[in-house]
Amino acid sequence: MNAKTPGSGANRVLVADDNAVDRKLLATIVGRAGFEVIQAVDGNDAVEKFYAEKPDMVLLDALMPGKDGFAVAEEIKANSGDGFVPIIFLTSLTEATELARCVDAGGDDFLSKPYNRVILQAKLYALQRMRDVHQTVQTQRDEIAKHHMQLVADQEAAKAVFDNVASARNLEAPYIKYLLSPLALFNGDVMLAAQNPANNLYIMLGDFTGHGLAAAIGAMPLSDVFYGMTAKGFSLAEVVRECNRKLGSVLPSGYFCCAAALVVDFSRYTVEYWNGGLPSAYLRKLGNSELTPLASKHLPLGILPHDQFKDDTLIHEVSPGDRLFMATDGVIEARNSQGEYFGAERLESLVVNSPAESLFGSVRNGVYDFIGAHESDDDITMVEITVVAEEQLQAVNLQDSLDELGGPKDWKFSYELGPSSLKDFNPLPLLQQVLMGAPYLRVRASAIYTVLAELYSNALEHGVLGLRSELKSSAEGFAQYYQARAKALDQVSGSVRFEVEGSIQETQVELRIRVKDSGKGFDYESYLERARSSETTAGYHGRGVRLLWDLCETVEFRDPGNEVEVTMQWEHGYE
Amino acid sequence: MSDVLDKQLLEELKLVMEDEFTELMDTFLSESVRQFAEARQAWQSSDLEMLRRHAHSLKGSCGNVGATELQSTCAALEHSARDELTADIPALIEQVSNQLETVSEAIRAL
Repeated sequence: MNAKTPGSGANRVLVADDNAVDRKLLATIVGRAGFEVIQAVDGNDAVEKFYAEKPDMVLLDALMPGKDGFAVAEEIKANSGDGFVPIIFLTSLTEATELARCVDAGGDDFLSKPYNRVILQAKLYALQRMRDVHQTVQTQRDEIAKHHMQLVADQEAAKAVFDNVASARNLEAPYIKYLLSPLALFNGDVMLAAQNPANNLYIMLGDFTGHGLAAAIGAMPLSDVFYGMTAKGFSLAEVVRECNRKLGSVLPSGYFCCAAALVVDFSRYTVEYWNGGLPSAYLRKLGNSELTPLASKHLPLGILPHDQFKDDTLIHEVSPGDRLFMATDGVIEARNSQGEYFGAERLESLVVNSPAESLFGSVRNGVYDFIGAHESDDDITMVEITVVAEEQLQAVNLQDSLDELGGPKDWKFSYELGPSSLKDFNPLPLLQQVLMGAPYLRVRASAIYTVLAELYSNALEHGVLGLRSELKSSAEGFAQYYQARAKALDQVSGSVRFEVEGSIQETQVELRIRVKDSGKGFDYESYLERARSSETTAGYHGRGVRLLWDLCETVEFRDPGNEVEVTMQWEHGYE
Repeated sequence: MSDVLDKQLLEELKLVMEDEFTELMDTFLSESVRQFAEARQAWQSSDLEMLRRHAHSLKGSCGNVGATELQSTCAALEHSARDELTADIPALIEQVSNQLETVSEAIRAL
């Protein structure tokens, strides 16, 4: 008469009945059904045994001296926590109101007297299965809760790491105003800003597809590439090309990043931009009622393979006081309570009609008023840059450990680029990197880079390509100039040669840079004459050579005008 | 004697309890005497609630050993105590006493 053994671990049954006959009979039936039996002789004993023995199920007589079954059931249910301890009430009570009391007290089933072995066994097995199911649900719930906590922890960790890598540190400049919700990262919005060695401001605004960690994850490689390449002096085209390659290789298919990037050159007063899938950015010229839209002409980052990616950028001339405005689609897609979109028209009207100095605030308030939202619950990402005179830029402070570690003290090298290299290779990051390997040069990194960039663009554009800088003096000419440049580069022939020489004297550093191009030269005498006479005017003409005069000790052209040598000197301050 | 104990129920009880059947019956004999004594004591001290409880317990025990007739009488006593029908109680107690005697004899004779 051995009953089958219960299949799960739920096999300890507490039998609580003050009636010795009943208790004995029940204990025998339950024991023969394969359960381990714990007996309690009254209510208080039942509670005590419940805590001491932690049974899996309880058979409880309703009417007992001392603590009755209802009170015991309530106490057990209140102290089972998340666990499910089924209670079967043993009762000869038949009135509905009394049965209801059993249910209210937490009873899961009834067994009426006289006890029937088959029915009791069936009930025990059924409740055992219920308990197993409950256990499974609990376990799964706990696992889900654990996973959820893990997810939240992951997001917090990701945000902390991201804040370290891509904090908005470079955005804290008086000429930049921005709005970026703390939650932006997990809405997929990214805003990056950095200065290149020539103190040009690089800004990138990105909007990743998706939300949450998936949207945030691409921000890491993006900022890595952006900061790394900008600091090394790579061009905007090179930066966006590499961002596209990197995102293409790390993002799963279907994920990409709408992005717009621009470079403000505060010494040449140009803004260069690339826009892939972000709403139009705007250039608002000082004292001009027309906006220049900097519209998307490309696919977002992370879609096209490297060899099909288009990195062509557009350049506009700017002057101090001009303003640039960029935003992710959160602005034009902001909706009011009627479900109406804010839209590009409203945005443009605000950008063009607001007083220049309050442009940013007007747009922000305009959007908030429209959606009726408070500043704290937005997910709007936007930035405004004011073009300022170069002197107002914040200097980049560089510390140079190489100064104390030593390095080459007298050295020279030459570096010549042939036609294939001139076509699509930018030698500036490489040259800058070599120069920064020598002691005492990092403190002048910005000036050195600016001089190299100026000398190289002159040699390439005016020397090798034979373009005339006079073109750039009007807005239309400016655009024509860059079109002609792209066209000429396509079929370039010739070469540019750098000769660079450094020497460190006791207290002085001297850097000599000679650049010679394969072009036929130009009438540099009259060019220099014009540049000297227009020194006080703001036109583009002659700006390049004035920059060299500012930064260099000597600037010397050689006949027939295809070679120029500059020297830079400064005290290094170390004995 | 056939009406005093439910033979069919007893047979089943023997199957369930196996070796412990006799022990169960012994438990009934001692418990029922104790429960009845306590019930009578409660009545003598006019504690109707205690009387009801002991009648209830005895009723339960009877049910489990197939003492059907005694079980009904206990139920009547339980109800009278609950409903405070004190006039009926002395006769019912007497009846329980007699029937308990008969049941005990029948059990001892098994």
